[in-house]
Amino acid sequence: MSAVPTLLSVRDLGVEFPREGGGRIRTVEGVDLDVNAGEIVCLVGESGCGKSVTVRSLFGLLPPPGRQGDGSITFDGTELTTLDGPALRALCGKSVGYVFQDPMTYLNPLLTAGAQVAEAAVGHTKFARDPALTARVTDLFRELGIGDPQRVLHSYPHQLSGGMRQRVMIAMAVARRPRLLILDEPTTALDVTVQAQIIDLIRSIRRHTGSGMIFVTHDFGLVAELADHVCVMYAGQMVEYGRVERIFADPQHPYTRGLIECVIPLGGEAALRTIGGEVPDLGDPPSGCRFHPRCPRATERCRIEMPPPEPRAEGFVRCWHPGALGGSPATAVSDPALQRAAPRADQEQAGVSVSAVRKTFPVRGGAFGGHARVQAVNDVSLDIARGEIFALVGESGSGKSTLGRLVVGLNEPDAGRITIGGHEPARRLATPGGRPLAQMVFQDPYSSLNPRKRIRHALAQPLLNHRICAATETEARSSHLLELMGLTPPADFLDRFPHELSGGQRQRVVLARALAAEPQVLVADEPVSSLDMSTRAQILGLLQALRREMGLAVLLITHDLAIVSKVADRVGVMYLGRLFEIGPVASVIAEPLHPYTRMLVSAVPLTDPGAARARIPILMVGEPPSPVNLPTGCYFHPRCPHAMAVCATTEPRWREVAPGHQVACHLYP
Amino acid sequence: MRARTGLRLTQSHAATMGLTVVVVVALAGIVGPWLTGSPSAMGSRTFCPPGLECLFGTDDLGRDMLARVANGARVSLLVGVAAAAVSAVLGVVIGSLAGFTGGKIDEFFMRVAEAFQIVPQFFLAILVVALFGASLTKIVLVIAILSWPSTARIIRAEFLKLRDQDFVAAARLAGASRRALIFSEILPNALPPVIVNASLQIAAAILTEASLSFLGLGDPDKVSWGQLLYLAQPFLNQGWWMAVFPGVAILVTTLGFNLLGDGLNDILDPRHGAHER
Repeated sequence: MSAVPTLLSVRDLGVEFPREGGGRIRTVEGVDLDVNAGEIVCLVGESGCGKSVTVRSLFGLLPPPGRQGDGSITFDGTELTTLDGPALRALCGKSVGYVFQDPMTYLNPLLTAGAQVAEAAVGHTKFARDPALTARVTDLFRELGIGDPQRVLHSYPHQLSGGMRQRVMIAMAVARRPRLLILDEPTTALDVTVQAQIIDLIRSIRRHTGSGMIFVTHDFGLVAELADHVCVMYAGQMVEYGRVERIFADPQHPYTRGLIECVIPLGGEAALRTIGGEVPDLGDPPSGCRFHPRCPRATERCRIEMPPPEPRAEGFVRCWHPGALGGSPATAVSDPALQRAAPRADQEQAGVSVSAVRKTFPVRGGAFGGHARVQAVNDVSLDIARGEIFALVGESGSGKSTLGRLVVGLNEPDAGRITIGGHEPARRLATPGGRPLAQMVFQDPYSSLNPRKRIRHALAQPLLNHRICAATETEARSSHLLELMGLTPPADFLDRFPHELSGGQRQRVVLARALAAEPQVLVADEPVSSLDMSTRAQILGLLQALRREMGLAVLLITHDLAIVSKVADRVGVMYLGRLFEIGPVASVIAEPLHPYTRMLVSAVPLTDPGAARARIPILMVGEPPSPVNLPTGCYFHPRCPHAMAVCATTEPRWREVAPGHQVACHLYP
Repeated sequence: MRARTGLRLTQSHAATMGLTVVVVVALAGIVGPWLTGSPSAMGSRTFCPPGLECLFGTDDLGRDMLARVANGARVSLLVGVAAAAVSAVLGVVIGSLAGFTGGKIDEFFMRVAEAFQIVPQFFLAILVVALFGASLTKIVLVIAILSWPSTARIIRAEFLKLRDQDFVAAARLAGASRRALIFSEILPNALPPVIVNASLQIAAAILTEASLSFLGLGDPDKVSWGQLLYLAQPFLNQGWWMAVFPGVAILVTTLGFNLLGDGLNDILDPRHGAHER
């Protein structure tokens, strides 16, 4: 080991929760972790593996029923498990910072950002009366790359964008120059571009402060970008630990290998891969090796005996059959069930035509209840052919979701026309008894299924309302749909409530419900962004199969170009309600023309630790402007590194640079 | 889901206590009168203090106070539950309509609700009963009409929050009619706070009825706790028990419903079930 003393050393940590019906269950056990100053340790695993519980238990932040069971935690030479509350608080308040996934729930909505950072720094919120403190917070904001610290200082959390809120959270965490920073999925709720900014920020904090960091994530792409050491967790246990280069080059545990293979890379020929099965309930883990039900290498021994952690090249692995060459749990996505589903013969599938569509929404509030309007979609035209997957990419607030809702007919355009096979979707939806032409898959499968209704209801609803089949056949038909989506046996799922399913299963139910109405067009609004990496491929594979087997036109809305590169045929890049670039996916990814597209491409995490550290990312500067007060000329010019005088005055015109590849930018006159 | 709510009901102390009290009072009201006999049967002993022969004593006409309090439980609970039920139905229907449609209709109903809320309610109740005479039905209706706005506001707020949820949009795409959207999709998710509120409203209705009866404005044909207090007024010196037992009954019952309401609030609060997501 190096001469630098270990900052945090965790040995055999366990976390207990009360078991239903009495007693306690050890949900997390046997966690060994070392963090040195200036080092980033990544904790990786699917959701439900106990990552957050682990990092929260380190400094006594577990939610009440949970309890840190046994083991030892040594921080900076002090044993923490024997400290009482006030002593622990005194130590942590000074030297540990936490950043959580959802900044909105961790920021106080009644205090300004400045007040909250001031409180984190000195313990009170009266920063405005103390010029020295104001200067300190302002400097901190500036160091963290906040362009206009004065505005952020006096803003309330709801007035800030998601990325800015996360920066404020980070400012609070680093306000006292902590020696250890714990980041729990800090970028999961953010756009890819903002994620790239935050990752860059975390790197520069490490460089300047030399603090140790624990970074929790489910995305192996981010691990490649950041980590020095990697801890892989599965079902409450640490299954592998080692240096990042070794983990990527030579993963020993089958789960590690599976997770790495599930990362969706930008471009390339690699197939979409997924790990079958689900993370077991931590309250009732399987016997023997906890991974054995999902493992291709499992033998009789794995079912009975729990493997001990075995030292392996400056780390360890917990597996009876380790090695980089054994079978991998990640399998290529294929859906044989769908191929058997005959395409609908009764009706010709149609594509979507969107021409010069505009949509504005009134902005509520304002000091005088003014009549300001947000330009959500501004003069957008595009066509999606039948059997085509068209991807719409852009940051949040770019109007992609609004366009999706216009296409399914949930909203009506203010100007312009959307037609599917000659019919207008909004008008069709408003007609009683009219079967909608398009269906939608929503981003959050938690909120798109009625929490109080069984799955049976969700599937029967479209079948009965649209008279797709007789009432007596709904059962068989629903089962068939669930089977198509790979939810077998379907009888097990029909009578469950949404909260009894995992995220991936819910999203498949949502997809089944969308198909039940026999649409011609499917709008998928961020269908995988709330899912684990290991299940994303399943949903994306289904989308591809639907297009292939049923000839559906698919509008895929996403902010992740890696997904686009794998599943879409054509892509449109949207910014502030306007399209900037349209083209075939291969040519847009390989040769992005618009500066904005180039930034999006560069923001995708690379899956190779070496390459990830070597490249210089093109970072987005500033924040998207308010859609109420739009910039003049090209909307992008205030943030564009290539902005010219003409950009501020004149709107760029569309130009076809390559066959089918069009761009609206003054760089291509 | 239902079984789990039942399980959690027993885990909240407030709810358990409230539920016990409510069940005991309800049993007393339902079964009591059969066991104790007629509340108006006059006995030979007047002003008999509580003892072994007459547990709660007798009143100025020799009527058994136990029988009268048990009968009062029946009447008071009936008024409380009926008034809360009518007010809940009114509030839910109006609140759902206002919240779901929004715009002018919402504006109209909310102004009406405010009009009811700014009127001093108890005096309006006195006025109505004094003008139109007192019968149990009228008292129930008056209390219900005065108390629906709070339910309507709660339901409306829930609807405003829920109507933009994805599952409602999905139901629209699945061809659900407006009625199905309101009653089958949104309403079941909006009900928990209304159930809590209804429990509190039962307690409030019992109190209002008791206050009206105490002022001599209750239904003279029905024995309610408030009326017992009213009749006990002239005899506070001779028979303290005539006032104390009905008073304690009112106190315990309203406390029970309030505890139950608070307990239900803890149990049905979605944040409690957050980890189950």
